[in-house]
Amino acid sequence: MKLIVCIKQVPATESKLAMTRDGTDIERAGLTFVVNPYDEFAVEEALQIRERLGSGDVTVLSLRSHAVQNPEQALRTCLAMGADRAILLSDPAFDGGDNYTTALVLAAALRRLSFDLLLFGKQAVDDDDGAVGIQVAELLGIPHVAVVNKLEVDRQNKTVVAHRQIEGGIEVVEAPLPALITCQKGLNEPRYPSLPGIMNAKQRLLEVWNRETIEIASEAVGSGGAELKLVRLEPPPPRPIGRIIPDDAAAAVQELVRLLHEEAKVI
Amino acid sequence: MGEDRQILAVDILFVGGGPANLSAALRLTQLIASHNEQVSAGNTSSPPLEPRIALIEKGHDVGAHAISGAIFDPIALEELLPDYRDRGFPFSLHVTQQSLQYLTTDGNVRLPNVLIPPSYRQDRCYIGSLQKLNLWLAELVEAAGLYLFHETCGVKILYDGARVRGVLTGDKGLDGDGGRKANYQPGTNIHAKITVFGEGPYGTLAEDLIHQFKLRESRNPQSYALGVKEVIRVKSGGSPGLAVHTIGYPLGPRVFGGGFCYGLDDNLFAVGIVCALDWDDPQMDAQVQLQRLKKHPFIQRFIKGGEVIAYGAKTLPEGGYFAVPRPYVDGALLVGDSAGLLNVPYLKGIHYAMKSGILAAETMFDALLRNDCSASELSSYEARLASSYVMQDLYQVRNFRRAFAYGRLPGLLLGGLTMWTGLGPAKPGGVREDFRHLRPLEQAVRGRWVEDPAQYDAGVLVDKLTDVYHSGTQHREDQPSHIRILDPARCVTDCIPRFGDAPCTHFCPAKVYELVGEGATSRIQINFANCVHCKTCVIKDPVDVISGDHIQNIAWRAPAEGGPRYQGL
Repeated sequence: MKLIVCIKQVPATESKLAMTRDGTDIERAGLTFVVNPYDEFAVEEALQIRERLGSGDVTVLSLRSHAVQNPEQALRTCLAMGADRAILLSDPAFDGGDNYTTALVLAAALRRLSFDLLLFGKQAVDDDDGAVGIQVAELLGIPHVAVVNKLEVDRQNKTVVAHRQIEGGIEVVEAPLPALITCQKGLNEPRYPSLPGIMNAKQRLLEVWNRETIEIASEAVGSGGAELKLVRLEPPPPRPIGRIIPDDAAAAVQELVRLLHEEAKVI
Repeated sequence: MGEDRQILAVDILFVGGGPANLSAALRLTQLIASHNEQVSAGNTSSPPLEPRIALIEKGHDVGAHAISGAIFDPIALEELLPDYRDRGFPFSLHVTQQSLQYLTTDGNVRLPNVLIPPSYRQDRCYIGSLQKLNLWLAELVEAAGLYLFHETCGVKILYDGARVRGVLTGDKGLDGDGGRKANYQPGTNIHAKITVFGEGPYGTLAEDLIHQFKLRESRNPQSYALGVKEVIRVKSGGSPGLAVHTIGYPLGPRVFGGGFCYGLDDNLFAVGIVCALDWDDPQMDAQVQLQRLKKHPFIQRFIKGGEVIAYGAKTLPEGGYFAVPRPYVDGALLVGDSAGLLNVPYLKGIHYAMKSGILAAETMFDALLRNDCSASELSSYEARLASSYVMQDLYQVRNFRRAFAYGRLPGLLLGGLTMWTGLGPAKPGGVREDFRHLRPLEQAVRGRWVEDPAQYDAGVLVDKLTDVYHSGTQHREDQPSHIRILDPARCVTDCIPRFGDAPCTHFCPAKVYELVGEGATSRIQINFANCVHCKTCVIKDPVDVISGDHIQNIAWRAPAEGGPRYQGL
């Protein structure tokens, strides 16, 4: 079974972000970058499927862009976890794109690879678009199931059964292979790269594919092909100072209820 | 649990990714490369060397747990990489305005620069972040072929008889009770011919080694200080190149230490305070003292209206010459702060860490050539250190800190005198461990700080938990606590009655220890997720659980996962 996982490197979730002077981007100098946590679920799921079936291979794909610091490192992390092959899509023409051009580039690359199942994180935690995976499925003309927290693969019947958490219940969806899945927290516990795995990954060569490799027109991708333009980023409003309500517990609760009702207007 | 452990065999293992070990690794790869060139040129009959070299670092990367002032003296770097300026060296800012200020409650007196011995002037020094230095060095050593394992922590030294054989790394994927989660991964036994411990001050394994081999026998116990530091961004009016050191306010007369305020690029300031841990006051709190320093008009003129963007805390070894342990055993070396190499009056240790790394590398290179990693072969490391500027400088200033035992003003005079002249006792002695200095509240010599609490303004003056947030510290909440109180009852039955308060709730700069409940039901709660790995608690914890062989009530072991994620400290 051929499994391909698309990953992105993002600033670590506990990073403190600052805006650039023009307010259209974040400052990336000094931030630490990690594999997007939802993408780690995707990598882990692919590795577990390969292990359950006792055969297959796992390829990891990533796209270099201005938003990413060191995609090679992210790919090596996946190799260290146990992936078989890593491909980096890297070309100056890919710069300045949006989620649509990202999907275009990934789809063009994926057409050059054979696969039974594509796995994505449900979203990258940097821009939170959650749009790339499902656009790739659309571009490739294959079914997708998004935000999956349980997955079963039926190799005989060439199908997957995916569970999705929905309001008040679980939705169970079956799809024929090849299909695309986006992964949600709860699907698995991603493994830690082992020390021998890290040593091995360091010695591996990464494949680098550029625009020519995937035969895509430069005006279709990058800033030329982007349909979205980021106008402005704003930090969330600063949190006001908290208040401690003195008094004994019973009176304090009364006062708290009054404040929540009359001032905060949340109850 | 031992049966499923993998063994990873290397030749050299570095424990800790700081400037000492990174410099050692870089020097070693340089020596090997030039040796192998000589071999292929037919200039030597010895075989080529192709050792496997690995480095483990508990932080997310080699910068994540790195914190220093930092004013950086490039003397060791010039030796390591003479062309460092062309190799992407991350610092460009030099010290341009140096001053030493004596602060009174609301004023300041500038002490004349002439009081500072010429070798301590900082003109040649850079101002920068240790994190960036480490990341840069790591890039160089990785390119030279070193295996770098991040988020990998040494938890136990492995022995082969009396020879150090390597370390065991921590088990990952444990739940809060120590049970195995789905992604449990057992630690790895890393075997090495030589293991180099560069874990910083009070290294968990380095201290185990020092204890096991009695490496401080007939030397002084190590004395420490706690440094807390913030990076503050102001809207305008930065002072790049400013390097102000302060003594006096806000510290009480019996606290040895002082503050600093360095001007960085991009309207940033690094402001911090360093307090020797032999303080007697059970309510002394360095983070609060830092807020009081920041409120002082002299510091306010730089940082007013600014915003704290980073925070960190770390201990420093201040025992100097007489507290440096024997730095080698069969199969292992100690480098940098783990060996206590820091110059107190010069306020610097990074260059000593790097120099000790260079000397350790030269020692290991000879050992590899001779295929002999025994204690007698490695003992040349101590001799190399002794004849280097590291130990020669430390000998000159060996009595500086001891002079301050007489109080601040006599200390300034005496300390200055011993620093200039190198005079004073030539033997160790007269030093008690830091935790023995704590006194009951009513007997402690206290500053006026208790009556003058720091006030938080949600801007530049911040409370401790806000500072912890700015440290980026994270430990998975469902992992086993890396901090344990061995006998929790003694906190309430012994410690609090003896000192009149719970000292741990004050000396911890990250609010790990919290007194909850009242009276008979009170207890110390451990918020391990806040921990910034500074080691103050194991140094300052005053309760002996087992009398005689001093074992403190707080047991701190490096966690297999988590810790601060410092940015720009």
